[in-house]
Amino acid sequence: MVVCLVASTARAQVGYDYAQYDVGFATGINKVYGDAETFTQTQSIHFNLNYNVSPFINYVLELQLGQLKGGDSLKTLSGRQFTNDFTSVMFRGQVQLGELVDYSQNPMLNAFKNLYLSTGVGFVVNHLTQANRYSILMPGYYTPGSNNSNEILIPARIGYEFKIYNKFNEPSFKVDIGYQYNFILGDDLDGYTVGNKNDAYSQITIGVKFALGGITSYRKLITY
Amino acid sequence: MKKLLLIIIALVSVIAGCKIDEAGIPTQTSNSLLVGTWFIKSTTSVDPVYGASTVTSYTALDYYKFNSDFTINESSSQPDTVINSHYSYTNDVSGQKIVIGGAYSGSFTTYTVNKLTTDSLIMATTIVITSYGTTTTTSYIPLTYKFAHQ
Repeated sequence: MVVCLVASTARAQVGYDYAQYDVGFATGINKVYGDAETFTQTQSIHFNLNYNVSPFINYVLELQLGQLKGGDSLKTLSGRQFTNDFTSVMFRGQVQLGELVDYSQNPMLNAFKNLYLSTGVGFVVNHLTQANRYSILMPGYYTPGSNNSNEILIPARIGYEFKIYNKFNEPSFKVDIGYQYNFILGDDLDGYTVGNKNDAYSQITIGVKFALGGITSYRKLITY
Repeated sequence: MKKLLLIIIALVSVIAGCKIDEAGIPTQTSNSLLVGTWFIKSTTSVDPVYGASTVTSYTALDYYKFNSDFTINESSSQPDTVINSHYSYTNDVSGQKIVIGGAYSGSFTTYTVNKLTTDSLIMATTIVITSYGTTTTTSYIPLTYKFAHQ
């Protein structure tokens, strides 16, 4: 009889359950919008811990490690060319469409229920391993700046989280694709302090997340 | 749903509007009087110990050729070489200046332009000479170049 009760309860939760905690990693392609005149795409790796208030509301603590590059000392007038071995840590809140709409009756909304917007706050530690400050094409022109700095950043992210369900219909594995723009509250991301705009860097990322545990139920059926 | 779409559109618009900080990109200043070949006619140096001396034994191989694309060909007869580099020209409240680049980034010489007309260029710089011995001494020697087109 006990076995029958357990089985009955389990069947009632199928499709409603999700893990509250995820761990994940990702890779990103980065581009700096700063004071250097040309762009260079670089790679970074990201590690994250996720607390899922619901399957569609997530809090993400993320660590990013990588390089940011830009400029061309030989071909640009300013002569700026930099390499930043950066580390950033950020905390983001994330809302997926599924939290806001009833996707049970609409295949289109069901398809887009994993589309999300995310923002938060963090900081980036800049360590410039290269920063050409003197121009070659314009002798005497010098761009000042810092080789080591810490700056606050505001991430803004749009993405889609593919949920892969296990045999209990719980989203146990996720593939996360997103575009993130990190507004830097400072001008030293590229090591150059010049002009009148703060720096920023964009990222196209792809990553995976694994459910760690803390299974609980959502008010709606997660999968259709 | 409509609100979310508006937020997405606003976000994408803000991000799409972001680019490099163009206010910080330098621009070159040109002076058509400078462009052309200037032959060195004389140099005058003022040594703090030995006083002023003027050299006039320059040949047709001793010239600076300022090009309109901000490149410069510095020709010398002794030794017989031509060094190709870049120059920049500024004219502000502190006066006219020409900066000529060296062989590598950060290596350059700044000249103050005392006169620039269609047929005459006079510019000056300061040579720094450091002597190493029991004591290290540094001498600053003003050097003035006089150029002409012919």
